[in-house]
Amino acid sequence: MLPVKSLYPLDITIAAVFLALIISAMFFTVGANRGTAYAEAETAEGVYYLPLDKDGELTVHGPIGETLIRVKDGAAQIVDSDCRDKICVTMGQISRPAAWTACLPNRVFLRITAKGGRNSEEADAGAY
Amino acid sequence: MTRKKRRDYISALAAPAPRFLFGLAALPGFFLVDRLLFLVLLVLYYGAWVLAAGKRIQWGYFIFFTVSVTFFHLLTPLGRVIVEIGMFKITEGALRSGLLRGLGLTGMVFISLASIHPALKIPGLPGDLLGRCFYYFDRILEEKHKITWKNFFASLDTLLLSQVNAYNKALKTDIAVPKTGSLRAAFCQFGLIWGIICTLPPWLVWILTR
Amino acid sequence: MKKRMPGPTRGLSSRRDTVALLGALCLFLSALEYLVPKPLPFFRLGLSNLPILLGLPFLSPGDLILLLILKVLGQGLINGTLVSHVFLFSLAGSSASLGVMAFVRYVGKDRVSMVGVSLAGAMASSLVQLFLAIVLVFGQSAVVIAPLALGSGWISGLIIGIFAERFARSSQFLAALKSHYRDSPP
Repeated sequence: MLPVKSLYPLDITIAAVFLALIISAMFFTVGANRGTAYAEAETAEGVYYLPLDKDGELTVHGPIGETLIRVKDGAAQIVDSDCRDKICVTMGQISRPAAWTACLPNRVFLRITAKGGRNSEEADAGAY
Repeated sequence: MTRKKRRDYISALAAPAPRFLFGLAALPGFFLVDRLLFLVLLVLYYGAWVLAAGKRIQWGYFIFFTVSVTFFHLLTPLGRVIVEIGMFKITEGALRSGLLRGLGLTGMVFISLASIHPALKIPGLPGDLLGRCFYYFDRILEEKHKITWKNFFASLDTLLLSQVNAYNKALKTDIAVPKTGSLRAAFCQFGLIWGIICTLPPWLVWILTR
Repeated sequence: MKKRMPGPTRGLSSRRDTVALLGALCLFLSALEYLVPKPLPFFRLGLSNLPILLGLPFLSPGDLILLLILKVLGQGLINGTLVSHVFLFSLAGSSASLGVMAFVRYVGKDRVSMVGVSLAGAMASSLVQLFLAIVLVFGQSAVVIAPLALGSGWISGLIIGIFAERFARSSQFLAALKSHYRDSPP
């Protein structure tokens, strides 16, 4: 092996700086509550997820017809549904964790998961 | 480090340059394909041509690669939940995008493996120098038995030193391009058959599934 | 060694021959590394960076870039990965590594050994490749692999640096190559 005396202070500094960077990367990736919140739609067909940080649309089918869910600018909304009263449409946008909206006649329940919930439920508790 | 020479059937169809260009032309079409079934078929198709080029495929690596790419995509749920394993949700959209990405990159590597022949001429100074570089590479490989693991760096050093001293005796070499009849050589020069084999399928699939 | 025969160098000066030989060493070491089983599926030691590290003290900046091109293109041709993302990763990682290594040597001059230079280069390469892996391959969730990717880069950088330092101290080949390079016209 290389005798330590052939290393210069600068070598040790470089090694230490990068090691510190790696260790801080470790704390950052483990500890940080990163990721986005999701719009979670419970429907007759199953559960759907849409990330809130990406605009998108989703059509789901329920007992009385179709329900159109839209995610735009970090907020989710039921924009159309084949129900009579359209209460769900008038409920407007939701974006805060644990906020919800629903189209009960078509059995669609839309809610926002906690930030960093990613592929787990663990963060939901903190939303209340 | 045995470089087993296996037969490269594609070199009978196309010279290195058209072979490379047709491979390049296949890529955009391949990435436009977004039907999983067709993508899988295309990956297997190009895999077969990699074998026809006399190259080995590490299937295990590519399977592991595709699975791990898909796994990381699944961590960001998207679309309908198909299965829930504990807290881990497999969602339709994420599964699809992961498989598309993993298989897409695997197929890209296969297209590359099939369409790159080491004798491909690179233009300019790097290309000229690369010829010299390959010459020395072959010289080192010829004498690699002189390298011992036990005394790795010292034996490597001796081998390399002999190359430095052999500088002036060096003879010009090129990688052997398979010799064929003049008619076949002319035919290879355009490599149209390879164009049909390599470039056409993904574009065709894309047009038909659009 | 002073008497050079014209030889079939195809218009290349023998100074460039030095670069070609170092490039060939890159290709040989990368072929060698292919044979050794990997401890982790995506872990690479990066032995083929050794010649660049060895050439750093005496090659001109232009020749260093040429050596980098030889390494990346040669691997792309021999392994057949020239038109795939593998080539892009290799080019980006190697370029970042060379840039940072040249910078560390320029700043550190004789107060830094191959170990420090190699470590900095390996980290630059790991960071760039990690970024590409997240953007092009695995998606955002893959930030969790950052510590593992950077950590293995740190270890391989250290090992390659120690190899380079030991090799540079004892190598007769490198001494001959250096004097050959200095005696030859650019």
